[in-house]
Amino acid sequence: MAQKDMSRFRWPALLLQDRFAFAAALVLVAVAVCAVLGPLLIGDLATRQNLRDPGREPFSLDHGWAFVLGSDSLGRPVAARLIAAAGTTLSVAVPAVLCSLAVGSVWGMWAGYHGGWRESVSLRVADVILSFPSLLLAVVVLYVFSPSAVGIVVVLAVARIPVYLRTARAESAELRSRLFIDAARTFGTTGWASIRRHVAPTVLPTLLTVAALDFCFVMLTESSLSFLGIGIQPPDVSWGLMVAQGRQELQSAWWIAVFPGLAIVITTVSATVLAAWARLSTDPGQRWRHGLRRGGSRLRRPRPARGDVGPGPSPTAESAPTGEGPDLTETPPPPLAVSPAHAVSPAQAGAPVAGADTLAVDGLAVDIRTPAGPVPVVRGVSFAVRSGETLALLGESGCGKSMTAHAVAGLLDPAAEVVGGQARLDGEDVLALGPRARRRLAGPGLSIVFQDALSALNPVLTVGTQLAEPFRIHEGLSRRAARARAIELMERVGIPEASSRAGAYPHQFSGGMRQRLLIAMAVALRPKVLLADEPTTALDVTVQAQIMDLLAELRSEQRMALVLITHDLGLVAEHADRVAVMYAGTVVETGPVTEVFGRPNHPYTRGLLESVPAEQHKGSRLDSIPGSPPDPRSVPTGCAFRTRCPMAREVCAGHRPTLAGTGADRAAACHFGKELADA
Amino acid sequence: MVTMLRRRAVSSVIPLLVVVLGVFFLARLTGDPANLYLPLSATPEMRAEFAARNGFDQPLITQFGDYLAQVAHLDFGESLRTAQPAGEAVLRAFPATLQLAGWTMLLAIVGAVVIGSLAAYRPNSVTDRVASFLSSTAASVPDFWFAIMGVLVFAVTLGWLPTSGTSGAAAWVLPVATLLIRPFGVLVQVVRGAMVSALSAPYVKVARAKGARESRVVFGHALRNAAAPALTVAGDLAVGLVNGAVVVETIFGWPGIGKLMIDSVLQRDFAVLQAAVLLTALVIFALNILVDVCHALLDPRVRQRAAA
Amino acid sequence: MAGSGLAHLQSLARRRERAWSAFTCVGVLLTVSGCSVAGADPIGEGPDTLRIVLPEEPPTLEPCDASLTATGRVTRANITEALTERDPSTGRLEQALATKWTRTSPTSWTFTLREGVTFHDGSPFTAEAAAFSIKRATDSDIECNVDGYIFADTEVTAKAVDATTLEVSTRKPDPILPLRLSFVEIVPTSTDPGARVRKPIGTGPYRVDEWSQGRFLRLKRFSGYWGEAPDFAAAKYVWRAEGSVRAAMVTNNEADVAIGLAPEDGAGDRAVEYVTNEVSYLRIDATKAPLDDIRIRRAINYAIDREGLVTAVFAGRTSGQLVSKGVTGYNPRVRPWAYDPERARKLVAEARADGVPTDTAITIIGRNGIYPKAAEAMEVVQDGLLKAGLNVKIKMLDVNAWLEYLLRPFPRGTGPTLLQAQHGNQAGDAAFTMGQIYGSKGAQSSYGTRELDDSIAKAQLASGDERQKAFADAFAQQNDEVVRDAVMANMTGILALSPNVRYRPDSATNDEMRLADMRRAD
Repeated sequence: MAQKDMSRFRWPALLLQDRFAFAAALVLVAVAVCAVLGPLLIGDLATRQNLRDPGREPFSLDHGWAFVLGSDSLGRPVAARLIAAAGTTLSVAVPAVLCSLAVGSVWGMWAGYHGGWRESVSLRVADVILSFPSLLLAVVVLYVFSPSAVGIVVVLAVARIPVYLRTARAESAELRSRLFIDAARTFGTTGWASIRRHVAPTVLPTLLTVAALDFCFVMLTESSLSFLGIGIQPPDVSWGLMVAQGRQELQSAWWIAVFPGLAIVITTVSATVLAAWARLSTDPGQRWRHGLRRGGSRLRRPRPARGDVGPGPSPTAESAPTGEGPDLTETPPPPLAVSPAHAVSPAQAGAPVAGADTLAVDGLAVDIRTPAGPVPVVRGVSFAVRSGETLALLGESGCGKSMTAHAVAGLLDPAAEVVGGQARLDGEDVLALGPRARRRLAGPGLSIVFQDALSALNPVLTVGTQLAEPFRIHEGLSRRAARARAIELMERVGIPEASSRAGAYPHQFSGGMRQRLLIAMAVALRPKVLLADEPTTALDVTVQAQIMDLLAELRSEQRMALVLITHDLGLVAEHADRVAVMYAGTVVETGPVTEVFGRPNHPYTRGLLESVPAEQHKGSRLDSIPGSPPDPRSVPTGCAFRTRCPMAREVCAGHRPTLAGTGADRAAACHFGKELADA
Repeated sequence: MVTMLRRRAVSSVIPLLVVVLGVFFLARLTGDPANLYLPLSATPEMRAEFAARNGFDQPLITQFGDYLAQVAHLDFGESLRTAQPAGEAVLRAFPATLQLAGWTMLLAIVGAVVIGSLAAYRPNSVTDRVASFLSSTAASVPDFWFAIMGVLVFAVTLGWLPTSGTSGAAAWVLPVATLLIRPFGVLVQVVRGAMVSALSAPYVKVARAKGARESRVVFGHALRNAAAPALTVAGDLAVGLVNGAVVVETIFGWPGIGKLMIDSVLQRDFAVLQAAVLLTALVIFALNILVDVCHALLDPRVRQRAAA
Repeated sequence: MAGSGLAHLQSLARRRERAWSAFTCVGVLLTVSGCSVAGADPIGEGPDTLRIVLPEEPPTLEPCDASLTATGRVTRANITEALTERDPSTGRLEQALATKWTRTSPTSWTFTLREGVTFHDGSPFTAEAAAFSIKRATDSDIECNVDGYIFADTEVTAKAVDATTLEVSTRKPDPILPLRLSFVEIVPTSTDPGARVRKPIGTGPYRVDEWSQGRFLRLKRFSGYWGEAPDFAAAKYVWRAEGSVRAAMVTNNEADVAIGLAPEDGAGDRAVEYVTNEVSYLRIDATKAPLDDIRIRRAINYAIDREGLVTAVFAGRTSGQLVSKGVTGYNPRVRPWAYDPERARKLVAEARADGVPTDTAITIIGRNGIYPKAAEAMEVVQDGLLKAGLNVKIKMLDVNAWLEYLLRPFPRGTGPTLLQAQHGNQAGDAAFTMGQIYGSKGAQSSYGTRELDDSIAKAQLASGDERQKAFADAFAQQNDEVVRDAVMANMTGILALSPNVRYRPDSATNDEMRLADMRRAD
């Protein structure tokens, strides 16, 4: 809740950052001011007729400011009428839109949330209203109750209710099928409360956009009604009435219809722009575009769909019960019953091959563009991995490990950008390649496995099609041949009845099977380097182990270099050969897993390891490391870790430590790395 | 699928009856048509005779019952205005509107998909800003104003197109453009919004990670997922075309159902109005079912839910 | 069931590629059907075809509905003809299918019919056919519009004496029977007497060739026509509701004649103006306070800026009476009321001082589209009345709702009203105006006086110059002593004419547009 208040507080500031939205807001404010103060401003100018000299041309100040937009066929000043009409127009459009929005959306959310007969009856009612000629309704209502603004509002509102009803129903029905409402239900929250708390915030942005467009629909329909003579009654005047009356004179006096038409267009466009902006700033999935502090993408998402794209979760986000982010603290107990010193893992059976690094990342830097300027989220990351070897990128969420992987794979969001460094695949810098060359490498050279297999598989394509895609793209196989290969691949990763299940869709598989499919897709073309971004986070412990075993098998079978991105120390201890520990966008320590875990050379690594045996219930924090990771926009000077470091001294504030060798094949970025190593 | 279709068809019967009932009674609320069809100096006897001949002297319930019985035999009554069977008039006018609407929706959908996808490809880029601006302008231009300006500019001033009428392909340009402009503007925005979310979905990254071309990423992966919300809105817009058709058909002399419907409202030609509303309602219900079928074709999850 | 449905769905989804071909199919279908619509308009519009664009499609071509404007302007004197016809410029009754008529008694007339006339179906025109047509129009189940409009309170019987002699008698003396008969279109005896016809057969210079409803109506020249053959071999009518589009069709050479235009429709130098028989007026509901006070009614007349209306709102000439020049009974001495806001204000103030409730809200009942810019015209009126010190509101209605206010019995509980109205005396005799509109029992009359009723009754029985004078006096009496109306203007019609066509419109053009008068310009 604190988060919400804060974001409300920041609205004006955010608005100022978007010039278009700001201009739109200004226009709407101006219209509203005209509507309220118009009568005071213009007096009776809008109805003062001059039949002897009608149709004065616009853009002349000879007759006073009121005539700057010309005069109409009865000699009344168009500018003054525009202002007078603003009030009438808004007094019809705003209540009509609000009524249909309120009734339609509440009704639709209710119907969608409950489903069953309530849903189908509501939908049929919507069908009836939609298939009913609204003009007939207008004629009847206005005939029986005589033309009035109230009548117009009622007719327009009723006519538009189904649109909101159907949109709201569709969205909330989809939400219903998701996990968190089920959870809310089991907690015994009542229907309306759930709707208010869970459905409304997700549905409203969409409805707001619809409402902005409807605003114009209402103004235009009111215009058509005026055209039929059952709209606003003279001498009241609305923009719609002005357009309807002025259309007759388009050839002789274009300005009579054009200016009110423009007023409608500009007001609507402004409303649309503002609605789009509001949607952008309330949509959790889009919010990172505006500002980083407003929480990572996970805040309201049922699942951490995009890993660490939104860096720097705010402290409130982590304690929120709905946040399911892959925080260290929330992980189920890792299979790290073993002590860090526990040495040999199955993965290490296939010993690293001596020779050149398959992938060498050197000084990689990534910035995110924000309205307030670029924010560095990856700051000079370096690591290397050889074929047949597993390197773990270990760190808390928000430390930039996923961003690093996405940057290497060339999959950054448009707002993020590589600003420095290299990523050499067999000596060739993939970051410097053009898109075409990069596409050729994607698959056979570099491949990636995402953490959430449900969202990483396209829900509307069969898994067979998706698995066949690499073969079709890179090997130019026929549909049939590619499918055969896809089935082989499915068998290889252990999908039972592969040939019949190739025609099934992702939602028809279990979580573990989906992850297998995703891995199969990634290794289809025997990549040299496989980046596995939290491949097991979303899975339960037994399945986790199976997946990791599968990855290990494939690694040794295909002699891949595996980069395992994780926050799970147990996984690292068990499956990685080498580890690179990341903190605040940089690597703070690297080395062979056994050595690093046995004798950490960085206080952060040590803190991490110390936290493992501690209490592991949900919501607990890293007891041994006070505080939380820094916001990428305000990383402390000098050593980024110093504010939480028990060993911090003066030098840490002044100088940023670089990764320096602390032993054979080991390095740490700490002013006291050597001391720790030697201790 | 067959089950779903049958279920939807059956569940549409009652709403259809409600529509018919609503039109029947609402139409009769708009006043006695005798004044329109009898000479101004008609005597009370002539009025009584007129009412008796058209059954207006019966209680409304009886009238409605008779009407339903007639409709059950596919007899929609006789037009007061032209003294011809109302069903014929409606069936004659309907194809013209259907073709106009068909072309309009086809062009609007294709155009909106292309432009909406382009805009969504790089959110907040210049292309996106321009597309958003133009589409929201298009959605808010008064259609009758657009139509008359079109006639003045393209027919009178430039002489490229005929002013109106239905003869020749050129005559279709202005009516279709007028009808198109609003659905197009709305759809561009909807497609853009849906494509922005779809393009930022993980499966799109996965597709890119496979080395797929951008065209494959956009049209093969993202568009199918973005199609669902766009489809719903497109359905609503198609239904709304009946309103737009009134303007287009009035201005361009298009012999369609929109003009027929508004004329029959203004002329209190109840039989024609009822037949027209019944037929459009039928088509709208069919359209809604079609939209649902498309949803099911596009999204396997919907298919599963529908079958469940 | 559900399972089979699912399987079916999946197989459908697999056939997704076919969806694209289906998409293409839809496109092809639309194209083909589009061509069929486009092809429905025949192209054969050579220079021999006269192309006319009307504001609306005729609802019917039934000859006995010819007094409906939308029907009559297509059928009258083009497809069907009557026994007599009125020359709108002179007001004289001319020969048509009858060559001679004499009043044989106060209640009966004898007509001598033209010889050698044949109908479009080849059958000869006889007195039999004329008698049949009169009976069909005035006494049948079709409820002819002509019956109510022209023969409202007249009972007519027609009898064929021999092949070319017709005897028509009325129950009451009727001095203008030949004029009334100019509205009875003559059809052959083979015409269905009990139902409206869709494709009428007449004796006119053109016959119906094809009526594609909603699209066009095409007439072809009738080779067996008794009179002079018209210039154009065919005429094609189309209809467009929007005035500016009709005008544009002529400037764009898509039509030769466009009617029903307003000054701002942009016909430019193609526009031809003509005086119509339509007069716009406001009917004052003089039975309710404050309108029951004659000072208020006079004030209303003084408060309306008629000159302003004809300059800024519609085309017309200011007028003070309901009939235009050329109609029997027109009184040249009845002048339009002067615009005198000062006097209007004084009259209202005077009435208020005498206790007349001038603050009562008066409603102007307007009708959209009654003439161009109808709502604006009422805004002008409202402005004037507000300035005079009255309390006035506007309510614009559609035709049917408006008719409830026009015709007796009037809606109850509405308060004092002013009704926007227009009257066109197509028949050319004030009898068709006075009784209905000013008689205290007239169908459209909101108020009348016994004295005026007497004058009207007297005039209706008179004939010749006496008739003219009697009606003229009645108009003056209305204007001076009753002041039931605020007459605004005699409306000017505008049509657009292509350079290929010569045509001189007259006051009857709106009701009767003679194709034979349209000549090739070269």
